[in-house]
Amino acid sequence: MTVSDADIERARYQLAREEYNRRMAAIQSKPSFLGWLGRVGLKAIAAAIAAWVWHAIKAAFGLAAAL
Amino acid sequence: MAMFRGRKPMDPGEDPAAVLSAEDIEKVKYALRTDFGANPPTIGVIGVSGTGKSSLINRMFRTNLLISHTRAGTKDFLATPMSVRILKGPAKDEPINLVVVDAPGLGEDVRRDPAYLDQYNQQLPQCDVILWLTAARNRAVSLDQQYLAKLKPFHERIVFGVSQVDLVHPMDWNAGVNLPSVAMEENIADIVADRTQKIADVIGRTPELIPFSASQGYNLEALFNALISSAPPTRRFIFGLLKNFSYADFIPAGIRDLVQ
Repeated sequence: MTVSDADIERARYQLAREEYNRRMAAIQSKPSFLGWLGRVGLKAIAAAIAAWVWHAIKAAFGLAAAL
Repeated sequence: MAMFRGRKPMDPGEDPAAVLSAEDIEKVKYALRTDFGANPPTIGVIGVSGTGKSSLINRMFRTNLLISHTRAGTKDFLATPMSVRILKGPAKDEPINLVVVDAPGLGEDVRRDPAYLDQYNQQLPQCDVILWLTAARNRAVSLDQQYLAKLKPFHERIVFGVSQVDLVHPMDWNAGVNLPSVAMEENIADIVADRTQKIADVIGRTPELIPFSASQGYNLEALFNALISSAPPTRRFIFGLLKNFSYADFIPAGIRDLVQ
């Protein structure tokens, strides 16, 4: 099949559109991923703090009982 | 122990996989399994039979070989979890479920439509994205209009696609550059304008209709971008990680160098 110059131009235009859309999707995905990663990190920090507080309370009660 | 403790903030262009330690990557994988195992990425696909819903999903996420069906609700309503793998990023190769909610009988039997619509109203709120497909060659849009009118709560979230544009008259697809012919392109533009108006009459806004061909890989990036845009911002990335096609896949090898 022969491909004319006009075909090539149309193909270039379509590829530019596809590339634009591909990049836009990637641009939208990235902050979404980093935001999710941040939330996961915050949850882990919150869990660590809660565990520390729980240990401190248990230690305080243990100390009170010993006294 | 806090996750990622002591890590510097990432640069925007930085690959997370290159920055995180092996231990952190395992934590990311665990978090992905936990978060998305309990609440998998879900696509609701609406459209009368034969609009190419399954073909599109298979093309975008390469799911045709890894399908397992489970039936939910009535016997005709399907929420299909498909096992796919994450394709990039720190959790690359991690298996995950992608759920496609689909009512294959929609529009086939008017007596069952109320039940189908009830199920859509129950299922669609759980979908991250809702894709409404209408076949390019199907001129009768009244069914689409009727269903749309009954699914008003979802109007703002729906992405509209015009499928199977490779079958538009005069069907002389330009295989040399993998594009519709000029005559087809004009007809596709007419079809899109007509459907846009008819759908706008029902939903009260002018939607963007994206013409595409799953079989030819035409305009899929545009459709995918629209899907990503409509997904909840906190969950957009998961679809990007599962996307299993690239526009370059569909450029005929002979002209790839000429056009790039």
